[in-house]
Amino acid sequence: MSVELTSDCSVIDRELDSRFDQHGSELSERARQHLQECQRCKKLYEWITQESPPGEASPELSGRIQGMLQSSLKPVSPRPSTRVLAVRFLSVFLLFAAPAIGMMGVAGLHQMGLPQMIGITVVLALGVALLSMSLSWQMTPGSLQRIPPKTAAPILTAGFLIGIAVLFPWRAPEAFLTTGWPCLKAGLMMALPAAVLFWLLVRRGVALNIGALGATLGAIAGLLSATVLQFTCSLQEAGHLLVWHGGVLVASTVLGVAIARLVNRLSREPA
Amino acid sequence: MRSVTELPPASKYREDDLPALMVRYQKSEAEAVEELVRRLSPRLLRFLAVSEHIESDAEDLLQECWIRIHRSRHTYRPLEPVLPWLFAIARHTRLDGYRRRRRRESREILVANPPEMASGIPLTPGGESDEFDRLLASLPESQREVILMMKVSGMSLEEVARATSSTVGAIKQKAHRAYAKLRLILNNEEK
Repeated sequence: MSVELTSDCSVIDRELDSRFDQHGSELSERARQHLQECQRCKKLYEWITQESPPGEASPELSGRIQGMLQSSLKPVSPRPSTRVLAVRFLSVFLLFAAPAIGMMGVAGLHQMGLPQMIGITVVLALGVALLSMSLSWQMTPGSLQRIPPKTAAPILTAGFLIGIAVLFPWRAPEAFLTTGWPCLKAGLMMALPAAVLFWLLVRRGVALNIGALGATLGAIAGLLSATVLQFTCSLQEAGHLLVWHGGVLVASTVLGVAIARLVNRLSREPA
Repeated sequence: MRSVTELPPASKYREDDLPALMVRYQKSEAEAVEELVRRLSPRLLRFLAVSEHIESDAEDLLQECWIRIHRSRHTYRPLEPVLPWLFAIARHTRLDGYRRRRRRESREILVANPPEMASGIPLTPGGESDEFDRLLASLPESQREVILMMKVSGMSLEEVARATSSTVGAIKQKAHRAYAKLRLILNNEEK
């Protein structure tokens, strides 16, 4: 019998995939043939499909756990679906952003052309939808996360920065620092209460990956600030938008990760 | 001896009534708690024990895991698969336990040379478990947990993706890498 790895070995990998997808699906003829010929695959297939030894929880241990759980057993209401949760995040976003834009004026809106307005609105809307879904997935253990939590914030940031770079004109900066700093400051000051509001919603669920949650919370709060700034700031120039408005998004995301890790570390420190 | 093509399905633990039990647990039915603990603890213990190696630590982790499950039970959505929800919590319990142990060990080393820790105490009698653990131990952590969830707990690729906050494609990739490594190990042992 051959023990060399052949290109047909990948057939067994695929068979195992379908076995774990369909639970006990029949082997194809090609796979049967390959198992007869390839010793490596035969051993692997045998090992994977043979019954595995389960752990043995002693009756005392099980009894202790049962007693512990039953002593604090109270009815609980299942939390809403991820879509409902996502709509809640979207609502908080709109309820925070709309009054802020109303108070600060819509100077930015008047500076934008129609393609810019449509383009940036689409980017911002997709961003907030993505982050709202990501937060609702992260609140619920075992959710199928179509976009992994670690990639949601980078995708949003990249999309926002590319959108700005493509949609808005590049001009020589005038008083770049003095005009930009107030935007960054105002953006970060808005992001802080926004992040607290989103966190109040998130804490109703159970977030397992604290770092990713911090990044997503920071990103959605930063996006909210960037949205408000986008419609209220009269400097609609790519350099200003990228550095000072995009900076709010990036800084807020980084701060979100840092704060989440710090809180996580402090909560784990033994007394 | 049976032919490899006639072996029983890996998913011998697939149980369709777990969602109903979880709903009863949410309604605070004591019998549902008993049943869930009885049926799921062996699988959880196996999962928690593979990287812990020490039985008492694994049992402590199992208790901690059930406390977390209890506190998170409102996040379970009726009719959703139970195992991904359960193992997502177990996975983080294990990770936190590992970090805690590392911190504890690093502190102990600063004070004095600690005695050698017992390792590899089998959770099930007999050599079958040792052999299984040894093969799993040869895999990197990310591949090990994927194989463990699929093989021991009978979870599908999608369920493992749910439990690990990953995508089905990424889980397939990890599983294929693990298969390649296991092929080599199993074949070398035969020689």
